Amino acid sequence: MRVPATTTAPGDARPPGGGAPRRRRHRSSDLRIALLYLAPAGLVLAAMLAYPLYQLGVISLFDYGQAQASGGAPLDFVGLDNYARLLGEPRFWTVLVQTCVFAAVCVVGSLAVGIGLAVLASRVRVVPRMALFLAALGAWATPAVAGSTVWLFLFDQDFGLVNEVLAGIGLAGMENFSWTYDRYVAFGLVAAQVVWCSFPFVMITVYAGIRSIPADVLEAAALDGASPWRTLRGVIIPMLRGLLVVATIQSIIWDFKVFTQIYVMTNGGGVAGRNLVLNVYAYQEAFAASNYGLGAAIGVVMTGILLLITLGYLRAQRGTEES
Amino acid sequence: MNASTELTSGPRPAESRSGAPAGRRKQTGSQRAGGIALTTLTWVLGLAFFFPVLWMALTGFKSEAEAYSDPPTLFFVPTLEQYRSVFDRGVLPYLLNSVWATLISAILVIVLATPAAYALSIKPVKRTQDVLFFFISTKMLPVAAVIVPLYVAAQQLSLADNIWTLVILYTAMNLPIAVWMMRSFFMEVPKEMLEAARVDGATLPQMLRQVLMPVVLPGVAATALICLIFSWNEFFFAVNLTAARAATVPVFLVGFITSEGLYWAQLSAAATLASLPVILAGWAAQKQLVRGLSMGAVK
Repeated sequence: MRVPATTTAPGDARPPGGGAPRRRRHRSSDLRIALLYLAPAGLVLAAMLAYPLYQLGVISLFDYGQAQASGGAPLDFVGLDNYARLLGEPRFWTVLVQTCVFAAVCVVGSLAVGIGLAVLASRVRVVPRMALFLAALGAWATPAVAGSTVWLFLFDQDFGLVNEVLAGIGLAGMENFSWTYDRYVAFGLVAAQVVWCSFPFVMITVYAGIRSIPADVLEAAALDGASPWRTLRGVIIPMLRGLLVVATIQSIIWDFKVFTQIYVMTNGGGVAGRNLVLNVYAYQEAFAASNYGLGAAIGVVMTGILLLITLGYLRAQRGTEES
Repeated sequence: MNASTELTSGPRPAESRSGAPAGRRKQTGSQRAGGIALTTLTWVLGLAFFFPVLWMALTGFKSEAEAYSDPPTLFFVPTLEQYRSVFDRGVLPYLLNSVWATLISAILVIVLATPAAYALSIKPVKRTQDVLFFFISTKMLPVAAVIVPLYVAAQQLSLADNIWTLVILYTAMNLPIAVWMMRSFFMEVPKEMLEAARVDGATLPQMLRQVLMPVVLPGVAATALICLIFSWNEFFFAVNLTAARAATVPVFLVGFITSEGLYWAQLSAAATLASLPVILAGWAAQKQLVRGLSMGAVK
């Protein structure tokens, strides 16, 4: 929101007197142009953020159900009741904890798999690397809805290939194992699918990053006999910090808001809502239960938590950069 | 810096750095064994990660009965029946909607993000980090919760079931990451180039057009491709804000899951069809993608 506000800021302050140093004037007109350049994107995003956030905030203060949504019934202002109700609901706290743990596992998983495969790709010859790229592109290109369904089929209790193979190699107990019944197994399966969907972005950006590290730096590390792990820790990760911060934040935002995978793979949140995450919970409250007010309150809480997490992460990153 | 000058002078031959320890040096036995192990590992992981896609593609050529068989069929007589029924169900309008929504929004993203990223890459703007954070924070709103306000707004602006609604949303959705990525490309342009242009009296817009754009073009292309992929696969906005007229391919796919039970083989055929353009585009643009993304990575 800072962006549009600063559009009229110091840019107009021309240095007094005709004989102002040329460089100075250059700077201030630079600033004006820069803000001008920033304005369109800033305005679009401010509108896209401000309007829904405002609406969300407003709705969360009302008893807003189906009757109100379809236009007829009068609005009943309930203040912070929706929030009070939400915070008093044990299920909300369970779902909140679940969401945080689930997102953390997915973020760590996507980064580990993405970075690992990127390092691998940078160390093998062209043909195997192409195979790895094709796999990444395939996973990336598959729409999440279709990807989730494919995974469900592969892990199907009765005719899934995975159980068939596991039984085939002698794990008789896996013959009719259900991957979606137990809470933790189901979460694990969905997390694996989420990692599968999101590792390509990390892998391709990190691979590109490794390629841009000067060859002599990596060669020197290899000559010193550094193991791949040491090279990763000591050379690659520090040099690609900026890029990794972007990838991490992107992953945090994605994985905290996972919707499609949970919705499709656990059939809308699992048996008795055991596999709910906040985004699906909000959707269920708003649409299935026609309680838009409560759904909106969940949305506001989620946005707040995400802001805090990413801010904290950035702060920590800046801290390590300075030290 | 030395990375950037090397990069701008064209892509480096891949071999020069791939098998890092290989090269001209003499290989020891253990190094060769290590290389073979790495290659094997790569193939195994590549196949494992590709397997779901492969299975999906295979299933698209099965009959429904074969798709549901227990144990799963590995050998079967391929049929084009599923593809025929996918086209019979009218996938084309959905494909066209997807193409339009994706292409137009990607163009808009680049048009909006280029100047913004440029502005953030030069000195005068203070608090660059705050602006960047504001940009990325717009991605934090949970879609499930904002869908109601968006739906109401679309109704009021008579933009419901309209492809432009998706264009606007996809633009806003991809803008933050595009700005963030492109800023790092601009930062990578050597300061000397800019100083030289400045001494010659170039204004900021001139510098953007004549000095920077040619250099960052691969990065712009990579960003555009990434935006294309994200919009192509977007499901939630599409399913909630469009109906018969403006629905995109992911919405078409769900049709196989909800309306008449699950048509697994048909869904596979349709999903393969849906991911094919992305795979082909990504494969064709691979070099540019890597080259573009590797700009600004080291800083």
